[in-house]
Amino acid sequence: MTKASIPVGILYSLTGFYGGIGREMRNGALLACEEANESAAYPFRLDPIEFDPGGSLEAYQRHCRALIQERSVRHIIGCYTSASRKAILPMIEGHGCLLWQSARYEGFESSENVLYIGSAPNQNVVPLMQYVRESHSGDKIYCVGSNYVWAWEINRIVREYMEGAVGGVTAERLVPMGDASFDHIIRDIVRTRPRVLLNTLIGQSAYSFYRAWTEAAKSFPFLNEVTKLSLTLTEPEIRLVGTDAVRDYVVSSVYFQSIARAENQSFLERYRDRFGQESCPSVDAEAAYLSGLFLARAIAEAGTTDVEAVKTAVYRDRIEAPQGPVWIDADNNHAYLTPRLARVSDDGVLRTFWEAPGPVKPDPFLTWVERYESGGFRPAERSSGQRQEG
Amino acid sequence: MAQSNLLVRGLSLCALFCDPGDRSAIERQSHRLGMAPTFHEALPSSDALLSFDLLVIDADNGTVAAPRYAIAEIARPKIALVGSEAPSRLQWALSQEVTAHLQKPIRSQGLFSTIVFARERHAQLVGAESRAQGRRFVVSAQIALIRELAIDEASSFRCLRNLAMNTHKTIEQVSVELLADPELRTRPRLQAHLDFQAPGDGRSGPSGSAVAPLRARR
Repeated sequence: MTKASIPVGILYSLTGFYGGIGREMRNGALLACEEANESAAYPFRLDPIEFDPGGSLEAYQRHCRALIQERSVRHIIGCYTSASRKAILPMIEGHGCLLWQSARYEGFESSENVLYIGSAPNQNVVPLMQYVRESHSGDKIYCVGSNYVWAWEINRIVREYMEGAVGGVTAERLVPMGDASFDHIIRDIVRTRPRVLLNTLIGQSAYSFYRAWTEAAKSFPFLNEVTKLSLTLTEPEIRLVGTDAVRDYVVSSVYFQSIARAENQSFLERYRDRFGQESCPSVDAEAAYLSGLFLARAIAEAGTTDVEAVKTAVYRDRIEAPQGPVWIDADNNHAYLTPRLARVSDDGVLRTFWEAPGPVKPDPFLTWVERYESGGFRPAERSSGQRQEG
Repeated sequence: MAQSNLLVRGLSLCALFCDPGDRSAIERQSHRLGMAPTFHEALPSSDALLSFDLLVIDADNGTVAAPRYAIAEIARPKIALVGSEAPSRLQWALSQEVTAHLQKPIRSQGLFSTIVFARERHAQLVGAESRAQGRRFVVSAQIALIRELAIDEASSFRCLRNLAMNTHKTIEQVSVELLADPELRTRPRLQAHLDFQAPGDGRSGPSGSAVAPLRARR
């Protein structure tokens, strides 16, 4: 029997200066669609309709309009930057569609027409700042990032979180998106000798900065002693820039390839079977995969692509994901996820040294952040076996 | 997280005369922000309104436009929900001294930023009003200093300004304190402030001529 076809928009920038991340996310979404199509459990086919906006906001709008008006798409999986999401949000809301947003972002949004599968700031930046507070008391943080809303807001959270706790923020340097020249910032870092660096650069800018830092460390060995923090560094990027460029980086994320779960091993195998043994799924790929999987399961449960019915179904769902149990919080349309901290090892693996006792309720407006703070920061070995879900 | 004026959790919000759709959107947004709004179809008493941190008023509602429902006097941050942009409705909202507005229909976002702006604007207005009310005490204190210390008008103001700077208070506050306690107005107590040279003052002591550059701060 031929399955009914359901068009699904896939709107990731596969080219442009964060194209590598976009390709990972696209792969994750495609994998979920293809698995649903091959499974007898789903009486329909999810037919991905792909567009590549190439990082252009105008192209995001043009392709989104085409997906909705010409291809009758109700559900779109996509967007990496908040600017791209904001650019298409009025169209998504106006047509009553649903955007499945897989990227982590800065929070302070909760649209009824978006499901936020990537981490909220309380699941991403707050655990990292707790780590800094406990392990680097008194040290100032030097922030370098790409000049856009995600880095602005992350820096604000860092400033506020660090205020009165440790040395605070010593400098904030923001460079235009895609900028690859970091000599002046490296000189400033050499001059000010911070003990902690927070890197919120993305894409090509981040890769250039890693390389510039490594080069400078040959002349200024103290740079090797600086604790380097990232909220975005992923396994495929480590492979791209080389382990030497990012060794010892401390990374906050809800997913690492090294997570020891059967669901993760299975995910990695299926991903590599589909996209090649050299392929390298990241947190972004996992989130996009989960977006597609939630969508397929919700349509199957609801028996329709109607947005409200799909949302109702997805609120009741719970997935044993590669990272752990994941479900959507009906309060704010964001996902319960499990925060983790990892360090880049000598062999280029992101090895987890801390994880939350269980999935953490998303708090996109950082309304309840003290609640988590009072829960304390516990190393993984002391919290093993504890699962606080909900 | 350090306490911040951007944290609105726990604020009490009183919403007046809201349409069901707007009410639902406000409830959902408030819940995410950690606030428990209360909704009213009749205007509570002034005392009851003053027990809330924030007021939200549907500016299109015919009931609230009646003169007896004047809420300008309620000294709280006030947010108008604006649907009609007819000048009469906007005039009404302005007359109620609203400090921010939110366009109807209320959807899934916007309340947070509107509350932040409303609170900040309200705090500015309260501060400005407080300083305006204190202006007459500044004049009285200057007259007292001129008379009791035999200094000129410019020096009397400079003395108040220096005293305010050195004690981290407003000129209005130190004026009230000086008027309340004659002991504070003696030359020995004030000499340091008479001699104090503020940055950019270019002058020291009470015998200088006009202090034009800083007069504007009054």
